[in-house]
Amino acid sequence: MVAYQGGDESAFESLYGELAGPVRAFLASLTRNAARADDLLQETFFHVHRARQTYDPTRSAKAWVYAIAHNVFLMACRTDRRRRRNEELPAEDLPDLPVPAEAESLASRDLVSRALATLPVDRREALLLHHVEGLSFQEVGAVLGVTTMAAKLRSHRAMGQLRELLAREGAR
Amino acid sequence: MSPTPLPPALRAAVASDLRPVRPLASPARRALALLAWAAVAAALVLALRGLRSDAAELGLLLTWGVVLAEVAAGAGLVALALAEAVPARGPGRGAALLALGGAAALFVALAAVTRRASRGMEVDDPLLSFGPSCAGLQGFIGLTAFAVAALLVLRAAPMRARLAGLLAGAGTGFLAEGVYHLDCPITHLSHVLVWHGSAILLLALLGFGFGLALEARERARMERRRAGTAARKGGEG
Repeated sequence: MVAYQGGDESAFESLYGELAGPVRAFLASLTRNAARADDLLQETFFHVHRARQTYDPTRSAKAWVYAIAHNVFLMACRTDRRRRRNEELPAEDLPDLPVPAEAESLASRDLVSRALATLPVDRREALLLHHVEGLSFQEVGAVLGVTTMAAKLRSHRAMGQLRELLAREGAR
Repeated sequence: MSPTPLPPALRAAVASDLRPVRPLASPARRALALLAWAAVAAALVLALRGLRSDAAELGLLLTWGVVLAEVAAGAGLVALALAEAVPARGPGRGAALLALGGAAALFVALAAVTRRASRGMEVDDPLLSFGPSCAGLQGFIGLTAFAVAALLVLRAAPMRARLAGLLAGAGTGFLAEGVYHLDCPITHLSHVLVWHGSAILLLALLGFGFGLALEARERARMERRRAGTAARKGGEG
């Protein structure tokens, strides 16, 4: 990131290569729309480039990029809300959601992924950023613009809700 | 998982602007610019309009102490605005609203303490006399601070700009109130809370509007890029 701030194009490509996959998965988990996630991924990295002077080399580059992705998603939601509310896609277009390791033992990957999709977006975000992307709760709070405690609470509630949903599915 | 290819439009945008950038200083350090502004503004107010007529009655603490407290609160809010403008650095909505509430409570408390210490200049109708001129002058002083704060916010390319703008606007409102405390000798609470308070409120609203305009501009840019990408994909197809 420091090399990129210094004007090194290949450093940007390395950053993109390292983070584009996970950030796309994160955006897909929020939008539930593969094509939209691709658009927002590109938009996220446009913003990364435009705001590269705001990156503080003493802090986590990952949290900084995820915060930009989160803000891009919120901006896109505002634009979409003006156009039409909650664009629903046919089920076959929905991308697979990344599954937290803690939840893998609870049920099949597919079941966990579907249960994850039913969680409220703010809880899902906190859960995925901590359990899948490995961000600390402090970093999750910074990404989402909430306190560390609120980030922890959202993630714990999401995990509880997920367990409950999977237990209900298992009982059927 | 296959690696996500770098889109050509993004590659072109990056390649077209690869000038080296220096990381921004911390929000608190950048907010120091507003302290320099406050020192210059206070010197100008003293030179052009002189010190308030009841300064002797108020004493050093309630004249300069109040100025320092309000300027510090204003600069603190601007620092929060600058943090909010940087991804993953913002205080969050809850903490920002708490800070705004704290600054407002400080303003009311200092107005009450000042009133207890000095009757100030007595006017016929404290609610109406000199009110618009005080609000106008304080607002004008605040606008010059807002111009500095807005430039600092813009440098960070904020995405959640409405909260950053609100904090910057309110912060410059408190900075202006601090500086104007040196001039206005009317201590009646209805005058201070209504007219000086409205100048702060107007600057906060100006900041919020500035933030909304920045967000609208960002959304329009996003839409243009999205339309361009869709057109390119259509052309390739």
